[in-house]
Amino acid sequence: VARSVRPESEPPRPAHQRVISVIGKASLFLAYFRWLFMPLGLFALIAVGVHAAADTVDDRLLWLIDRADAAFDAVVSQWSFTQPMVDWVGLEQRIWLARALALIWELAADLFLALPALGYEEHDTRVPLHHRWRPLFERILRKPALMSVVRPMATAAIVLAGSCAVGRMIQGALYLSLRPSFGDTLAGPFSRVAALAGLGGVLVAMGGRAVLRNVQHAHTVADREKTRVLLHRWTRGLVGSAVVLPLAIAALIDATPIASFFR
Amino acid sequence: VFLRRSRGMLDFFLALLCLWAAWYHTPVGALVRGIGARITGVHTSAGPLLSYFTGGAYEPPPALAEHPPPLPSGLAASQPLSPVDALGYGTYAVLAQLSAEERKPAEALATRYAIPASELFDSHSGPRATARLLRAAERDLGSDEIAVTALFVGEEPARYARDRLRAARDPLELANAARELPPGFDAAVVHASNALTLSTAYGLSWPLEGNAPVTSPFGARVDPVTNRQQVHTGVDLAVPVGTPVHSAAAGVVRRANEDSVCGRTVIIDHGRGVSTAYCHNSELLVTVGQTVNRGDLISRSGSTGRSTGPHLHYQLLLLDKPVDPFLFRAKGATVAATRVSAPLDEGHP
Repeated sequence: VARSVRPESEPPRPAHQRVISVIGKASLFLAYFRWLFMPLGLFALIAVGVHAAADTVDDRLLWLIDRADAAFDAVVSQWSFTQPMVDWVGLEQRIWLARALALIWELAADLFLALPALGYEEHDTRVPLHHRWRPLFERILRKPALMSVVRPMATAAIVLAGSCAVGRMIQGALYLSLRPSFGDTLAGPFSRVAALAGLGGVLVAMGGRAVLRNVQHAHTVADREKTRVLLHRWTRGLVGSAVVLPLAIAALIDATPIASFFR
Repeated sequence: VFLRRSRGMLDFFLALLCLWAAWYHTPVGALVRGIGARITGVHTSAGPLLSYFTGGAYEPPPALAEHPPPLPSGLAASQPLSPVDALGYGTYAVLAQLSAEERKPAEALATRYAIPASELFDSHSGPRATARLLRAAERDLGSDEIAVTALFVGEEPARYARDRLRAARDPLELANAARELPPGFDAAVVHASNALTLSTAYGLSWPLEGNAPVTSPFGARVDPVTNRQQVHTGVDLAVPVGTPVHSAAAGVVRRANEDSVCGRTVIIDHGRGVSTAYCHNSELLVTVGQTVNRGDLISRSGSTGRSTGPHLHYQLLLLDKPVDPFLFRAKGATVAATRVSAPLDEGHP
C-alpha cells in the first residue's frame, strides 16, 4: 500500500551533470555582469602587455637621453652666458627623466590601446567570435587605413606579451604555494599546465576580443566624415601609431617567452 | 557541453586573472594600491614600483648602507677586493640593516650550507661568512646574482626563478629573476639589488696608479666661486697634467665629451646601479658606447673646465646618487691620508 501511494520520483542525475548544471547557473548569473568585467579584463590585459613591453625600453631611453644631454651640454658650454645650463641635467636627473619618459610612453600607449577596450560591448554572446571577425576584416581590405592596420597588429603583439605575463604569474604563484605541501613532482607539472591553460585561455578569449575591439574602434574613427579622403585615412592616428608601434615590436622581441613554458 | 555551459564563468575567471596581473604589474595598479594603502593605513607592496617611478617621492627607497663595513686596514687603496669578497662585503652591508623577519631567508640559506647564522650577522665575521655562503650558493644555483637573490627572497623562489630563466634562455640576473617571481617579493628584490650595488662599489679599483693627495674631499664645502656652502660630489686628486686615468671596473662608456664645468669628462656605467665619472681631463681616449675593462686607460688628467689647477675629479654614483668613494676603500689607505686644504676644483657640483 505504501509503495502505491509514494509519488514516482525521477531517477537521480549523475554527479557530473549536477556540476554542469550548477556551473551553468553560475555562468548565467555572471552574464549579468559581463558588461563590467569583460571591458575591465580587456583593459587590464592590454595594460599588462604594455607594461611588459615598456619594461624593456628603459635602458634604451636612458641611452638616448644621455646622447641628447651630451649634445646639449656641448652646445651651451660654448658661450659664457649659457654655461650654467650645463648643470641643468645631471646624471640623477637623466635617470629620472628616462623613467618619467618610459612611464609617459606606457601611459600614452594605454590611452591609445587599452582605453578603447573599455568601450567593448557584446550584444549577442551566442555569436561566435570568428563570425564577428570576418566582416571587419573584409572592411579593412576594402578601405584600409593607418589606424585599422597598425592598431590591431600592435594590440595583437601587446596581448601576446600580456598573456605571457599572466601565465608567468599563475605558474609562479601556484608552484611556490604548492611545492611545500606536494613537492616538485606534482607542483612543477601542475603549475606549468595551469600556466599554459591560463596563457592560452587569456590569449584566445580575452586577446581575441581585445584585437576585435581595437579593429572596431579604428573603423569607427576611420569612417568619420573627415577621414573619407585617402590622405586623411593614412595620417589619422599617426601619433598614436608612432607611440604604440615601437612598444609592440619590443613586446614581440623581448616580452613574449612562449617557448619557455614548454621547456 | 561543459565548455558551452561554463563559458560565462570561464570568461569571468580569465578577466579576473587579467585584473590580478594588472593590479601587481602596472603603474596604474600600483597607484591604486598605493592610494588605497594611504587611505586605509594598510601596508602595500606597491612601494618599490611607485618609488621607482616617482624617484623616491612616494616613499624613499631603502637607504644604501650609510656606514658600510670597513675593509681590512692592510689593503692598499689601489688594491680592489676579490669579486667574492666584494660580494660578501656588499651583501653583508644590506643584511646587517634588515629586520629579524627579513633575515629569515638568509638564516635558512646559511643553515642549508652549514654556516652558523650567528657568524653571518656578526659585525667582524659577517662579511667573510656572507662571502662563503654566497660562494656555496653560487655553485649550487648557477650565478652570483641568483645566489644573492636566494639570500633575500629565499632559496625556493630563487630556484624557481632560476629554472624559469633557464627555460627562457635569459641570463641568470636579478632583474630577470625579479620578473619571474610572483607578487610579494618586491621589497626583498630591492634589498638584493642594493646588495649587488654595494658589492660592485666594493669591487672598484682606484683610477690612478700609486698615491695622489686629496685636495678636496667628498662632502660639504664652501664653493670657491659662489662662496656658498655646497656638496662636493666627488674627490679631487692632485696629479700632473697627462697622468693616465684608468677605468675603476669593467663597464660601458656612457659619456665622453667636454663642457665648461666638468671639462673633458668620461662617465662609465658599471651596471648594478654603479657609475663612475672622471672630470677635468686633458685628453679622452674612449668613445660613447665603448666597452672597457677594469684598469683600461680611458683618459689623461688635466685642468679643463672650471678648474684652477691640474687634478682628477673622481666621482662614484650609486643608484645615481653621489657617494664618497673612500667609503669603499681600506681604512687608512695612504691615498686618503694626504689631504691638501686648497681646493682646486672650482664650483664642481
